[in-house]
Amino acid sequence: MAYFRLRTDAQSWFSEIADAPPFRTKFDVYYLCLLAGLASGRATELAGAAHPATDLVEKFVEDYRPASRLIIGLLVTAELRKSGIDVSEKTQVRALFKRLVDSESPNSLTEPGMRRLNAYASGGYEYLAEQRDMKPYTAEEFIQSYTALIGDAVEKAALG
Amino acid sequence: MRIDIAGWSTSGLRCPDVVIDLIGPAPTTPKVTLLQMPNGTGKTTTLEMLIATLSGVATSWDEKMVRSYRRKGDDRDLGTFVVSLLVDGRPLSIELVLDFEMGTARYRTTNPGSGGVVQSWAPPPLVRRFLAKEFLGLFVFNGEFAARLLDERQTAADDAIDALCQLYLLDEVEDFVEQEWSRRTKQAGAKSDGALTRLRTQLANMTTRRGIIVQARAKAEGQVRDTAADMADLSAKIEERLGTGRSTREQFNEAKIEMTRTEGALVVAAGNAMQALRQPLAIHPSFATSLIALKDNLDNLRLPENTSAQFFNELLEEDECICGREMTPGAKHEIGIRSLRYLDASESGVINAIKQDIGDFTASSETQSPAENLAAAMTELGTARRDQKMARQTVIALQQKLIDEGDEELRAWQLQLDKQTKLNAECARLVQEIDADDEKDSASEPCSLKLIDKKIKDFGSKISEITETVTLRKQTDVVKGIMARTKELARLKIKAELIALSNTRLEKVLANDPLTIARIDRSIRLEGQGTGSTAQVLAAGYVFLMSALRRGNNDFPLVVDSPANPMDMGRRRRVGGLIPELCSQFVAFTINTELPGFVPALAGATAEIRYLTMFRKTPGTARLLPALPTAGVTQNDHSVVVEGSDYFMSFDITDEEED
Repeated sequence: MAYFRLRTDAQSWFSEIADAPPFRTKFDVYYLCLLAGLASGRATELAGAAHPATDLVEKFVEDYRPASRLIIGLLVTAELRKSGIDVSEKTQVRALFKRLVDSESPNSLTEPGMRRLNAYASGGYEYLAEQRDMKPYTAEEFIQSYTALIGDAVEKAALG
Repeated sequence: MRIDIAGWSTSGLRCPDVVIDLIGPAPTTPKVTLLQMPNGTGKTTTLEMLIATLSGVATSWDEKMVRSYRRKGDDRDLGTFVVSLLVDGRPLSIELVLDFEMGTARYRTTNPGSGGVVQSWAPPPLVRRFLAKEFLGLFVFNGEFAARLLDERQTAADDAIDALCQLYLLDEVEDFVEQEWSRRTKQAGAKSDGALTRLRTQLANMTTRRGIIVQARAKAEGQVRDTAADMADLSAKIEERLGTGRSTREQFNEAKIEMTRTEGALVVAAGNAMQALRQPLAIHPSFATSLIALKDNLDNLRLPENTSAQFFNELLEEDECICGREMTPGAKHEIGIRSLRYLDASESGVINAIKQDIGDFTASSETQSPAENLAAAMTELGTARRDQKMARQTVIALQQKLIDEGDEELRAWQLQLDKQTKLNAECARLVQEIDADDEKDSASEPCSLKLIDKKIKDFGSKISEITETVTLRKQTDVVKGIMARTKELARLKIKAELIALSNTRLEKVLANDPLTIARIDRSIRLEGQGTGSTAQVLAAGYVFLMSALRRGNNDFPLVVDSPANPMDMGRRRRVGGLIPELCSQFVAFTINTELPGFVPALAGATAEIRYLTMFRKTPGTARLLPALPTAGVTQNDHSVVVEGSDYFMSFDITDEEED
């Protein structure tokens, strides 16, 4: 069964702010890492012992259900970019969708699809940790700085 | 095992020289002994001496501590305290001698059954484990201990369960199998070589380190709790001091209210901003751009197609293709392969849903877009952060002004608070590091318990392989796993039983203002409230402790200083009525004011009560001497002990009278 998984070092990094409002679930942390990964195009696979991680949930949590398909859409666009697929190549686009999505799955993703999503969350955490001098100690400060970090990530990805 | 206290004697110490015989003419110790001692007669010293003598801890005391027990104005060089026990009916006595000149402590143990007189603290091994200081604290204590069981800062309730139900025996099984495996690996003989020696050293070092880290964790966790409590107390004192007084204090109070308001506004603003962030399109315009491009491309490619993989699968069942040609095996094979490239109906469903949502969320709307929502929330958050920061700075400035205006005590509290806050953070960080599961396996002295356990396991496995004791190692691990799980389950089961038993008794004891134990999490946690009244808490603590004492398979005496003092009459009656059925020997140091209600209830519940009244010989108590009864009196130059209920009940001194 494919689960949303978050690296334990990411959980430690967010430990000062993750368990109190405005954060409601661990998925909030996962989501912030994921968007950073999707924006920067950075994906680090969790396979192996190099990056231990823990299972969070199997389905998108309530807070993120309305945006779940947009998130999957962003995964598809990131993977199209990363694999250099020509978007006019119907066969390749179709094959990518077959690899990533599965309506029978509780999260609409195949096992490889979930693996890639987790990889972007993992890469996103690395990006955030690199961009900041220290781990976040207040949620307010982190939230305020977050959109700027994403803006920088998008710019760097466009250049690189 | 049953342990009774037969009596004690003391000389040359802060408490008056006295011999207390808890048995008297009876063949065994009575169920209840009430020892009435006016305040100032040395109840606290007696309690401390009982614990020090039984536990053997005094040899680690420093000179100052030893000399603190010397009586003022007494020129004797030695102070002694002798406790006589009955262990399953057999006598055992331990004597503590404090040498005030040398500042040292020494012991003598007399065990007529085995060993005779030994010039050290040397109770038999089976008894020794029950005489540890922590364990003794469970049955020799002052009335405040019962309340500590319900104090969230303490771990007394958990400790009581572990000690009384002897869960340490499971640890001993774990130690035994580990030692046995270790012994077998040492018998490997010729197979031993340098590598094996190295591994053994590494295993021993890592095992030692584990012990150090476990101790460090316990200490740090305790300090986190203690410093948090100190911080709360200091903050309350500082706030109270700052909250009273003249104009600066009025300004300070207003600033505090403003800070609370801005903190509330900040929480709301952060919540709104986080909610806005949960919509990815709000975070960066490129997300919307790329999603719209994806939808447009899918439309251009006509994906998903109207023809699905299912269509081709059904076609394979036909004799002819839709073009009219015969469906040959070759054609079937080719269609089968190519059909896999098509999306099936369910995949098409997901793609259509994605396209639908992209269309819906990116469509222009009269309401605010997600990006506009987020921008507004971020502006609100920025303002709230600024306001909160300013309010906090105002409070700090006014606080400093108040301190500068000359309140030295306040300044000292503030310094202490800063120190405790720092220590609290350091200890919390240490606990976090010890509990971490992501420490890199590079340091020679790791900090994370998980990593240490892993290394211990790895060393053990390697040693097993070399010494061909792999099966034994596995068996050892299985036994250790079973013991650990058993301990966990036993603790859960015992807690559940104790909660049920205690709650049943509490219904009786606190019939008029009921209170229920919800759970035991280090301390006792009450249902639906932080804590009860002092009297309620004390009653709940007793009931729990007595239930726990009863739950273990050993009988210990309960020696309590001022057992009923803070209770009202009703609770005294109910607790007093319960005590004789809950422990084998109850020894209480009382004063006359706590007798009403409590003593009649005890007397109603058991006939086995020994009444002793003790007072110090001073000019103030000289008037009592002519009126002493003719029988049952023991006296020396320092004190008088009278046995008997009549004298006990008529004795009317609360505080020691010096003059």
